[in-house]
Amino acid sequence: MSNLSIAIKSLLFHRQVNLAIALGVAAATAVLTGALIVGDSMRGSLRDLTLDRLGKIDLMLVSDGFFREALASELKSSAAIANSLKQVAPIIYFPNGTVERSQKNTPKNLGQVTLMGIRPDFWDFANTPPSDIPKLAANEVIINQILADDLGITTDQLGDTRLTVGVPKQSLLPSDSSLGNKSDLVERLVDLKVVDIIPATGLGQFGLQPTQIPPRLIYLPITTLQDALTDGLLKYKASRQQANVLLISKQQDTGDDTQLGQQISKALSPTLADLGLSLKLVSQSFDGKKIFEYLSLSSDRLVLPEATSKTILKAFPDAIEVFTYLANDLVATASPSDDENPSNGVPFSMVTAIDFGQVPLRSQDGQTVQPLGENEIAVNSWTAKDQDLKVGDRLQLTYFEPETTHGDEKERHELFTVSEIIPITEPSEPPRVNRRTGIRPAVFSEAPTRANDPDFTPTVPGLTDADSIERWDLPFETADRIRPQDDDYWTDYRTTPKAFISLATARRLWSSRFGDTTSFQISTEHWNKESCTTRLMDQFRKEGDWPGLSILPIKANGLAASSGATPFDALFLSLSMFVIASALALVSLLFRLSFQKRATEMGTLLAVGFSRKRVAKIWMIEMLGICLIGSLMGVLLGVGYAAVMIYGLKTWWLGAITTPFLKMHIRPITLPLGLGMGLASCAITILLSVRSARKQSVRGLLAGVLSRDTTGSHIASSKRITAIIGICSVSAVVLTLLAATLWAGESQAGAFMGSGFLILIAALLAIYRWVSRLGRDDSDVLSLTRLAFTNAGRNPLRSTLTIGLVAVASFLILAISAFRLSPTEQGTAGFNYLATTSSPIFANLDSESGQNEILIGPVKQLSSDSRVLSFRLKGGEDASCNNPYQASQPRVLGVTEATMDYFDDPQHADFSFSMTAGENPWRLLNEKTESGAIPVIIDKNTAWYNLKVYLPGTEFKVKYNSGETVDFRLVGLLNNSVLQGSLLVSEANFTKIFPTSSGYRTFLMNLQSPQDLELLSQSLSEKGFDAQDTNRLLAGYLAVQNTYLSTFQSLGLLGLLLGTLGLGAVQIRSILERRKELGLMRAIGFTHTQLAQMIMVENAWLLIAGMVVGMIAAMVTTLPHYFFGDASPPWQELVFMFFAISLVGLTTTWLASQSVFKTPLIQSLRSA
Amino acid sequence: MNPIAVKNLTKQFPTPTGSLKILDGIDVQIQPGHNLAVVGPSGSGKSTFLHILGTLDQPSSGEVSILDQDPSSLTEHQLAEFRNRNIGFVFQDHHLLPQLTARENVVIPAIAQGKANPSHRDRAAELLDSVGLKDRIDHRPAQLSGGERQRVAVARALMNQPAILLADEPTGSLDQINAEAIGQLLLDLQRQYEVTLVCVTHNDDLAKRFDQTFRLEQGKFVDLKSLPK
Repeated sequence: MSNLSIAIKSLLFHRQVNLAIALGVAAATAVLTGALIVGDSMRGSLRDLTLDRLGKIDLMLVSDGFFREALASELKSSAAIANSLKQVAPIIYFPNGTVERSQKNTPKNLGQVTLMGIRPDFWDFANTPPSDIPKLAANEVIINQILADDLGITTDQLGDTRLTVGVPKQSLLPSDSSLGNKSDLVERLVDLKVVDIIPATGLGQFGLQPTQIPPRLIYLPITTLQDALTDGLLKYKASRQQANVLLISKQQDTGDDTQLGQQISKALSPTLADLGLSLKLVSQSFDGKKIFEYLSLSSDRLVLPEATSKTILKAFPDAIEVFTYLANDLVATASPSDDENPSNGVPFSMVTAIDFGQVPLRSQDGQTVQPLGENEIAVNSWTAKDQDLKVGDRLQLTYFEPETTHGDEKERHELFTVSEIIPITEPSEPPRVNRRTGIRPAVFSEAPTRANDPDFTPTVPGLTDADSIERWDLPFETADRIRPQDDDYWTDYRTTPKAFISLATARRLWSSRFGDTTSFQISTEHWNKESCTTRLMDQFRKEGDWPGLSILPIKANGLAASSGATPFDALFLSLSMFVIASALALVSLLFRLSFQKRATEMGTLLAVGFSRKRVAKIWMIEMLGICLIGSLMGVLLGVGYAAVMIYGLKTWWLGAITTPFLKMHIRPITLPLGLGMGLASCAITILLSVRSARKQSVRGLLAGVLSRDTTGSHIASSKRITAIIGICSVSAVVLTLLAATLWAGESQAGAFMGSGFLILIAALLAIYRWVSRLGRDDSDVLSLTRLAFTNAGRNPLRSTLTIGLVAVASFLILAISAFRLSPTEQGTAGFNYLATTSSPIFANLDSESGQNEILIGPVKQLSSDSRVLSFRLKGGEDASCNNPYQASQPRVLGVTEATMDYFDDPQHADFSFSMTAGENPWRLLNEKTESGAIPVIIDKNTAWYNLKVYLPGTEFKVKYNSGETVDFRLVGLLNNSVLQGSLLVSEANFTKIFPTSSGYRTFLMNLQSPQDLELLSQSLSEKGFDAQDTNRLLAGYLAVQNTYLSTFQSLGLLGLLLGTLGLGAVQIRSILERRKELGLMRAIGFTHTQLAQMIMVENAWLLIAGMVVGMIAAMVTTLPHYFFGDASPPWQELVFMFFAISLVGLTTTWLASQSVFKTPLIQSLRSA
Repeated sequence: MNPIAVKNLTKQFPTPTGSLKILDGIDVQIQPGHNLAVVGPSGSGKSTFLHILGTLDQPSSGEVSILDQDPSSLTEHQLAEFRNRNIGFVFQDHHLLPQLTARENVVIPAIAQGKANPSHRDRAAELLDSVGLKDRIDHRPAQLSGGERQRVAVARALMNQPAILLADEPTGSLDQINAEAIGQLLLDLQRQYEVTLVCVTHNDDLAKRFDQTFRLEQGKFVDLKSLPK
């Protein structure tokens, strides 16, 4: 008979107990496999969502301006890339639109609406192109279900519902620049008819950001948006057929999307206009002689971005840099004046900075003007005459700072010395402005000079094309300062500079985040327009950096993000820790039970000559067989367990994932992996359980008596136990006091938890000592109850371990409540609303003047005590724990100096910080770092769980789609704040890294009356104002953590339930060990009821003692946290939970006690 | 009143090959204060007979009267109470509770009737004195020898002042000297407390000292020594 056949026969013969062990193994394997499947499902569902959301769109070409629609067909037909691309289509994409539903009395406004200007071919990108999408007429729109729900539109209202759409009308000139427009930034499209509502699936949830929350979407004909923008962004485009995004789908098997993106970048052939650049031949001749001629390269946005300037200089090293700025006033003066209205100065003049070595300007005496020094100025003859200036005179130049804050232009004065007077020639016929053909140059009867060049100033829409100086479209008043001679100058010379300064001085005064060059002059000796354009495009192509254009491998990025911010398999493994531990404990107990029952069998094998090794081998074969059967069952059960977990995440624990998007996914490797893990963990558990069997004597085994711990003396001496109890108790008290007085947030909760755990250890040791002494006292009264207690004392270690198992489980389930959080003032800093707008707001809502400027109504003021702190916003991914995707480009908030000042005031409540030094940690944002990295403050949950940045001082990089790669340095961690999901940097750094982002779009508001919110909502509705109650918002963020804790508690309870089954196994084992005694007691007249009562008391007290000890320790953890911290334990649920556990435990005990009476009395008496 | 009266007692067990009759028409009556030994080879049915007398088992047929009471008419609960008040048991294995002292072990039958009070403790001490363990009353089983443990078991059997004492191979696991002593102890105590003693044993020397001795052969009693009339 082989080992295998003996093992198989044993396995089958002892099938009852083996099945019980296999079920334990199945439970452990099921939980392990289930956790892996939950991880698979999270990743798979996020991946599905990404693939569904993007359809066949693999890459996107995104512009910060507009380009020709034709770029799509050009790219598609490009020989270099045609084989790799399947479809390319242009769209206009605005993620920050607003929608208003016109309803009687109660118009409904919504911000954060994504506007999609599409052509019919857009729907071809859907994985399953919808067949019944209506073709849109100019005034018709389609909306997705999310927007329909938010607007309250149902399908039966289609055709009757009219919407007004607010299109964010980005200013050509940066709004934060002094010349940029700060109002009228929304174009309204009225009376749009809703003709269809599409489900929020597929392209019905299209979006650039990886998020599981579908956006509000509205689809319009691209031509409708183009028409709307005709007078705005597209005003100066040669063609109105413009788009700002190209959707690109690739042919299958074209390989890596990032590489394809690079190939597309190389294959692109945009025009200069597509890049927001213009190249103009500037030429002035007189009597057939060229006075000057060059190619002027400038930007639609007045100032060329720094990166573009660098590329231009690489292409044309000899190009002349020109920096022209608007001086508010030029006035001859003897000393500097701060007078804001110098009455005799020249208002609103162009002042140009050039390298005089490159531009040969001549003075009145015909000499070449030498390079100007710091604060030297050369004025033209008109200005010199107007101000009666001579060389050596002083001239005060007044200007606005190039960047504004809250739209406030700040005027500055600079004193110059006139070093040269440069003559200009008055034209015989002034230039003529023609709306259709542009500006006809001036005609001269006398030779003009080099300084007679209006093209030193690049085209500034609304300014350089104005008929008169009074019609300049500027964000500040000009008319009251214009003199008749100024209008005359405008008529004759238009944008011809009135003065020149050095580039160095100009850059010191006017350099900004937008750049420090307004145009380049490129010599026509070597270049014409065509060759210049080709050279420039080649350089951009070579650099792989087209100005304003980005190619995003959006699908690859989305799929990468779908790996998830949180490893859900690991998370659920840890959440299921107790279930696994309990299942393994159950396996161990059942196995030991089986081992004990079969000790004689093993002794017999040894007695008849089997070697210990062979006996062990037979046992291992049998046990591995059981484990294999159990694991196979467990894998199948694991699928069911995962299904329950997923159902839980979609229902009871929805707070953890925000939307019920999860579907079950199982990777091929998962089930074998789960099987292997279950098999290995259970086999190890069994091995550990029987390692003491090697020491058992054959005689003992034959007698069915296993050596066991009876005294527990090896654990520790009584004195040592007393010492440990003392140390634990004192440490717990010290830790509690420290936590109550010094710490906050999770560290406080952790300290309370630590003190509770110390109490738990002390209590268990005390119980161990007490149990060890049970029965040693020779009491006068011996009762059945006392007999029950003395029975527990027969095996003090086992009893203490049983109490410990229940106590630890109870403790953790209860104590984890300490980490359940409710919104606190420290999470909101006392602000009751957090608002965002779709369009930027420039006015300072925290000032009376700002409120007066922007609020609409009879009362243009908020309550006097209301406060509004503004933040700049760089849109990006929500990196809060509400977004399960791994954020690669989190949104950024710019913290203003005013905000930092606000938190300097100790009277104001502040946010709670963690691991962050300083009285006002917000000031850390202004610190300079050695590496040049940008200091950033992040909410701890966002930093730790999504961005995986843990400690202050850590540096990390983020590459934004708009091209910026930013090095950040973590300087502070916020505790459970309403500012989750964002990176917080100083405003100064914000504007440096995101120069094109203007205005303020996020607001922390402490509003003192409901009327304040109403006033803000009404006044800012067009800007997509959306205010959320901070407590509710924070509760939503905290819900994720709280839900995970609930999950942990629920699974912990499941583990405790399994533990009570283990307790039942212990009881049965104990009863089996004592069956002869119990048989005798039956024989001498103890009734069933009495014996059952004794066993119930004996075991129930282990359960109750465990729960009570666990509860007491948990109270130590939760109560101080409840009183001093943020905890909000769900008392009712917990009481219910423990009531249920007690009921199950006592039922198990009762069932175990009944097993006494299943064995016939005589058999009990005779059993060996 | 006869403490034990058995008439035409049979006991059979089902086996795969048919019914096995262990006891086959036994008739016996035992007078109050008398003693009876039953001998016979292993498997002859001695213990089964004793278990039936002790109400731990039921006969297949026949009449059994214990202290004029038909055990078959009692419920499980009543039987337990009946045993506790009227019958003391001594088994081959002492079945002592290891966590209790000798005195506490002796007291155990009393707590089946409720809490054991000081008077019970005194009686236990008295009983332990009578079995020669005066100096061992606070010792636990692990601190006693095999013979001493069995003495404790005997004392325990007498705790509730039973009318009947049933001993099932009381010397079976003891050496000759201890077996001799325990046997004599049983008989002495039987006489001292005037209980009816039935003892099944392999020990012929012990059996010879009983008033009446039966051998169980093929399910029937063979009278080896009858009490002198």
